[in-house]
Amino acid sequence: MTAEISSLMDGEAENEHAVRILGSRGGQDDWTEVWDAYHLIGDCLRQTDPLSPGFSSRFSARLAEEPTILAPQRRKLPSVDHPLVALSAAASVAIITFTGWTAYQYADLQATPAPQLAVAAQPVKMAAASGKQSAGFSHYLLAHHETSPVTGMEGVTPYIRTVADNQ
Amino acid sequence: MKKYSVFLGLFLLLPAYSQAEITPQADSLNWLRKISAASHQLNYSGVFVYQNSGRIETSRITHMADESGEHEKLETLDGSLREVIRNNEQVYCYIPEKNTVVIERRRSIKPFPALFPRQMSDLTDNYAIRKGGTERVAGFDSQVLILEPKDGYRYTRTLWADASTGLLLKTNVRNEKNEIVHQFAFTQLVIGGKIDKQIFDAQRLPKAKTVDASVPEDKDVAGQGQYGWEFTRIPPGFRKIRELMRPMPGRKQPVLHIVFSDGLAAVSVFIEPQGKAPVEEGLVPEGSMNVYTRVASGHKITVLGEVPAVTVTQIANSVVFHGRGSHGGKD
Repeated sequence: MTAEISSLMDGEAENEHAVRILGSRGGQDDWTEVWDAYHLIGDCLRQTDPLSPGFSSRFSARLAEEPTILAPQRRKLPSVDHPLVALSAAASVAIITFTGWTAYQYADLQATPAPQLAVAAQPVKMAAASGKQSAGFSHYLLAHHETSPVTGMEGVTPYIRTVADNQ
Repeated sequence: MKKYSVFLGLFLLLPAYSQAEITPQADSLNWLRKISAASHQLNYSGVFVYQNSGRIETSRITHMADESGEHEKLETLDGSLREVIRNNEQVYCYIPEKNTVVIERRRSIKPFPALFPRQMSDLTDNYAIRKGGTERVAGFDSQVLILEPKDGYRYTRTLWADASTGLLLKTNVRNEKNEIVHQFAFTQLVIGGKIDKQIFDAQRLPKAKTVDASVPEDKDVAGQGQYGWEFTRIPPGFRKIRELMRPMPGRKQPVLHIVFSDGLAAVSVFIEPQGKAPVEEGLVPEGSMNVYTRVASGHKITVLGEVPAVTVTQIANSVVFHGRGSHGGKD
């Protein structure tokens, strides 16, 4: 096994041979580990900055966790019924720097957010949501947050939610 | 060809690399305990961002724990100013634009509420808990923990905890489509250090009219439908944790409020006489929440929580009234 890896890394293996080795070994954990180890050693010898230990396994894990976005759909901005309130400069900065990816799906910060109507393949009856009804939920939401269990794992969100809902 | 083999032996001496990352559940649970305790027991101050569906808010928090318990101050940094001061269970919320201080005694906030063993077993029954890698959040090295639901009745939660103190630095909740429904993250944080206790003194808030919004005590938390309402098909893992009659703005009569929890997620059920106004039945997503409304036995049933639609729907549809509670029937 080590000989194979070594030959691959040195570019000694012929193309066909390389394909065969990778095809038969590529998915095996121990093989990958040795492959990584050799590369790390190689990097050290060449004095290039090595990747941190376990980089590839973490990379693979995170890659596997990434949602597959086939066709990113731009969320519809609120229509004229829900005019956007101009965001304050500070809030805008926060949105851009912290979560650039959500920049397109914000609702206005002051008014009650427009209810999201698009829930795909919902097997249950959807009520015709209106701004009026949405406002009617706020007392329920407030009461809900007040009574929800505080385990400490929610961080400080129980308060900030209450504060936010108070607006 | 063998020029690298010499170094292989050397390499195997690096334990972090050569050992597979085995994370027994006990280790994960210890992390949860640590996280749970840290946010209550540590001194810290920082700025965090809270994002709920489309809404994003930035706030500053200062937290101190001493012999008299927990003290906390929270200020919103965008939108209109809100200031919350908490001394143990006593909460003051100052709303400058209304020149009002809302005072509240929060039964749900206990000083240092470590996770109880029962809560722990609820968690492990309903979620597969595993350790992720380490990531940097707000300048701190953090340990990632992932709580994956064992069924379709709840959402996935990811926690990032400071590697040394366990303080929760970031958390998010993802729905069944893997979309983030809410998240919280510190962007700047100082752990430890001296904090001026005066900032938690509610007497120092500007003079304003006060409103007491304390919720009445529950009569009997574990009571079996003391008001005559029963649930025939509660989703697995959820347990009734509260049942109380509470005043609600705009309602003449108090509203029955029942809370179910699986150890992490909570679902609220509100039951009130139907009244004259028409009730729009059905499901409405409200921010990160799902809200389901229906009419049963002349009452409006509203079920909501940060849970999948199926959870609120099933709970709402399993409500039956039988018996003569103080708040039931068509009388």
